[in-house]
Amino acid sequence: MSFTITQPGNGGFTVWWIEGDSVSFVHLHVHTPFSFLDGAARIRDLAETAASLGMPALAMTDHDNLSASVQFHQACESVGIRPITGAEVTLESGYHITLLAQSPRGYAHLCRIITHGHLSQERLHPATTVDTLESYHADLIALSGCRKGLLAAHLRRRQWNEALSWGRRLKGIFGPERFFVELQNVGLPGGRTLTTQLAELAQTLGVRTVATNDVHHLTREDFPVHDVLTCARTLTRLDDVHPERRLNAQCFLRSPAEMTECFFDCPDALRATLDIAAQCEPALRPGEHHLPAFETPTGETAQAMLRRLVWEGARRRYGMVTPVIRQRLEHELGVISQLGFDDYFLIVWDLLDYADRRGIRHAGRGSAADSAVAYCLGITSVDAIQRGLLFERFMSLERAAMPDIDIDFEAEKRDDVMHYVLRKYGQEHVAGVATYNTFRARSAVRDLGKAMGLPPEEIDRLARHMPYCSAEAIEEAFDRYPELRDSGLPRERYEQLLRISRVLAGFPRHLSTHLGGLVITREPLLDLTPVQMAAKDIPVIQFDKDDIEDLGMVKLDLLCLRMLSAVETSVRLIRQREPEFDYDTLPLDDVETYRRIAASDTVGMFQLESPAQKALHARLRPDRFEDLIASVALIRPGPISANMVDPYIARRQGREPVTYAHPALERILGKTYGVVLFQEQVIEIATAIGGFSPGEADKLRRAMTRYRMADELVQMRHQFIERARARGIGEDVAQSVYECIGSYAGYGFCEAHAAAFADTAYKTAYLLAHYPAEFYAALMSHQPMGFYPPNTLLWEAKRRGIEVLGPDVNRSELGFTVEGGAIRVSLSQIRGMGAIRREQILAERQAHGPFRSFVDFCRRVRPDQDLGRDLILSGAFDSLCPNRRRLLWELGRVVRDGGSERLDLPGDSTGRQHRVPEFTADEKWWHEFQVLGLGLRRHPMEVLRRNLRGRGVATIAEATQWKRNGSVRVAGLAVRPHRPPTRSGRTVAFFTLEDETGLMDVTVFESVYQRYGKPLFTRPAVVVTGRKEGRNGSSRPDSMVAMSIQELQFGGHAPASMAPKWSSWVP
Amino acid sequence: MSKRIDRPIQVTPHSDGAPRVFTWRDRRMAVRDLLDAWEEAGCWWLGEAPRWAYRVLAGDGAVYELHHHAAGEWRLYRVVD
Repeated sequence: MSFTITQPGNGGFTVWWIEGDSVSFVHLHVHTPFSFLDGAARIRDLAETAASLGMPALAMTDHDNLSASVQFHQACESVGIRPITGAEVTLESGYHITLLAQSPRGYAHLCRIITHGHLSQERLHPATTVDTLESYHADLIALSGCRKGLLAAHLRRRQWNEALSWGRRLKGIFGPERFFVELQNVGLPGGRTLTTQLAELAQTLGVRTVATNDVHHLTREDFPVHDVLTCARTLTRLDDVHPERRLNAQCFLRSPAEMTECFFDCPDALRATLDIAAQCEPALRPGEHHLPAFETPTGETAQAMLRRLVWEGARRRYGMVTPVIRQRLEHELGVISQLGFDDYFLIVWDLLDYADRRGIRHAGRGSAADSAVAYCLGITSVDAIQRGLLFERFMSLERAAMPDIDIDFEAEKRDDVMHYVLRKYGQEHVAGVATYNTFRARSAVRDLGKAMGLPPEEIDRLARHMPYCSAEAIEEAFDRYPELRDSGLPRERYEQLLRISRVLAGFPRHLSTHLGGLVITREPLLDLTPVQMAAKDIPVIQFDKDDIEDLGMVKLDLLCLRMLSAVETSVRLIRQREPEFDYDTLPLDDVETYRRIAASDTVGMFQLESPAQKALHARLRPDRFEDLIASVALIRPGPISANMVDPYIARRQGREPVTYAHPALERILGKTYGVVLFQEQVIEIATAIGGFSPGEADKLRRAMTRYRMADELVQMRHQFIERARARGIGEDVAQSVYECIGSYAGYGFCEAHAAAFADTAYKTAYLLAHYPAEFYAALMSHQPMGFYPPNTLLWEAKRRGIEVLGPDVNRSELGFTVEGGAIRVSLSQIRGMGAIRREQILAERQAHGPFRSFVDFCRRVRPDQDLGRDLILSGAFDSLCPNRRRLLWELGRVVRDGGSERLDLPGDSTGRQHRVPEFTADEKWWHEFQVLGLGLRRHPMEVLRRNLRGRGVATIAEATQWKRNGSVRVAGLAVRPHRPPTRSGRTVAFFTLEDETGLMDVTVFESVYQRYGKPLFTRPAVVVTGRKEGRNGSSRPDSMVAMSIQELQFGGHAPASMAPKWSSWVP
Repeated sequence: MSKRIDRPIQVTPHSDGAPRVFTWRDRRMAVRDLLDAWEEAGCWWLGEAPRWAYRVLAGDGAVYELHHHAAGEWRLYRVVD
């Protein structure tokens, strides 16, 4: 037995034991999936395999990024091997070098080297300089690289002197102890000679060699997966030859024995891997916090400023600060200070102050609404004290997790706030957060199908039929979903594609920007993460939101919520006739608002408009704000799977008695009628019954939701039961209570979040009830958003008796507006109307008055042929000249002649001009539909109605009047078909059927879906036969259960001129 | 100059798998020197198995490229003049 002792830079010692004659080995050149389409081995698999093969450590060396670091660190630690963080860095010359961090300091240097590579070059083509290596070499070990290393490249070109020169340069930078010549034996042509020459060079230089295997996949058998990835990355096909494609399957995670065999004549190269690994301590220090700093303008401490602002806010919010309020605020401020989060709150307050000064609407969401401090600072609009919300759900000393505040902003103005934060704190301390675009079923089919050489039209057809699901489920999708199974696509042809897609499920394809996430640090960001530029010129770190918390960084989310933009637009439109209208002080008890919600008349309302919500309202019949909070929390997978919905409704309506397993639960569950609905209730129950502190209780709640905490959960369950018993609570009761919260906790909604959302939901319901024209105009102005497509919203407005006026060059604005109670379609709705043109039309109108004629418009605006045509066909000139066909004729002349006044039509020999016949009503409607995406004057189904009647198909309005449980046959557009998770795990599809008279929500149970479901996701309109639905306590007339579904064939129904066009239309 | 042959041949390998002697056109050729060796994955998507390629200097002074397929077959792939 022998052993080796090495001394890494921090002064400690590491001992690797080597048993007998066996030689262990450490892989120091390994690519994870975060080499983006160049790594085919999952991180967990790499770590587990390395550990099972007896390797004491493992390195990660992805291309120019450290995105895998956190997951890699956790995976290695979980199997008891040392993680070595490194990267394969690209130099300006295009050649590679492998760098490994010896310490957190080395890691920080590596971050700087990688950042320089990204920021000094064109985006997505990082390359750093040798000078940068020189500046940041300390605590880094350099390996000369694979064949793409400059050393190997020179030798392959027989440039010995150049290779020697480069080797000397690297040795000069890193020193003989930290520079190694990398040897690889991966079965490539010229490999043997190259290895011999590299070894010779190392000897000449007086440095050691080190053996690596340039790992790109886990086993030899995984090579095809990597090969397909390479083709996807290089946009080539398997049949193509490309220099990036590996020649063979040898770049896998070889065992120590296999590496020994490969390097039997270079034992020192093997030993060097152990020596290097022993010199590298883990680069990441989990558990450290990196909190931001806020510079107070008055010189007071952050703590003092926060306290001042909170008390000022409390007086504003509450008027009088009662002892209860004071106690709560003092408690929260104490926790915030102890955890060192004062600066964080001030940063959030400051950016919202900026937003207020700029008139940008915002609303805090999430667990921050559990905080009274957040309420007083104006971060949230939910009074946590009045609602009895638990601060510990948001923050506690026990959990000591980083705060995470999410704020919604008007969608168009969010970037304004983001740039303010970037300017104020500087790029050294602020950056966006990454997110990874990963392989899902459709993207896998497209990218990998192309690489595998499938014809484009076949790939397109397969992808379009593929449901939106994980690539992991791609193989079973063929069996499970009728639109795929019955599509006629031959499954056996795609076996290889499906298998490889499944293997690559969830693999990152590329790094992109998390919309709205920002990290802010006190120390330089580059101590913690590399930074690279994303689109929109925002610097982003190389970690996503899940890794940020493990890195100890603080994040805040500045999110876009189009509904806030719609609210702001609504308010502006309403104030045109009611200047004193104040959205923020709307009464929360408006009877008409609740009446509409209870009648499921909710299309357009935030959070309340989906078919599931409508079905719930019909049963729940909400008449108070608490009901809306409950409804936001109830329609989620958790409560549905845990069977919370029915008991809640029954108890709310007094049809079932409210019972509590223990009297102490009444205070906690009283507002939800004895049903556990909110995460805060889980915490309170654990406190009241199990005697947990609020922080411990929140930890229990989190443990219930994370499989990684399974062992801890067993212990906590035992604690809960024991402590409950110690408090005099029977074991049966304790078990029962624990089971109840355990079954729910995984899916529970945060009450604060539900309350924050319910606030916006109620207020949009109020707007819809009292200002429907303004509200629908606002919704139409900010599409895409919400549950329903624009045409459905338009027709919903019409069904409410609101007139809709087409676009008009002299009256339309950028967004939809309200004219005398009618909605005017916007200029933006016209196809091809870009931002510049819209602005130009409005500016011209403003400067020189209304357009007097079509020719006048053309002369002043000079539209091109396409835009001119679309304006005409949309009806935008109808008020100037109603004959659209004539205008089309004139358009050609005007565009060609530059706006000449002479627009004589061709005449006959007598000098009379020919009359240009107008388009028919059908043709006008169709053109408008094409250009606006809206059926202004007729609903698409109206066109088909006469023929449908002959087939015994009723309108939805008629079917609504028929008896519950009676048979119905209706037809319409299939709006938003979807398949949410169900309690039983079976597939149930839901969609809304729309015709010219109304909406009908349709439920399709599995047997019907499997037999008839194909057209739901592939065709625009269907005929549904079924029965009217009725459930206990529901009077809702507009829902049905489908017994059969057929595609609506237009050939026999539509006017002859319309049918071919109709078939190609998909809403 | 090289000429592609791609014909099956008889080979006697060393213990490590590299060719020691091969027979081409009824002539037994000893391998004087193994110049290079590499592995090729082949068209795996068409069911092709990997193979090893050996570039050898034979007793007659010519350079030959021999392929050893996974199923055991040896082929003379190329003669390099």
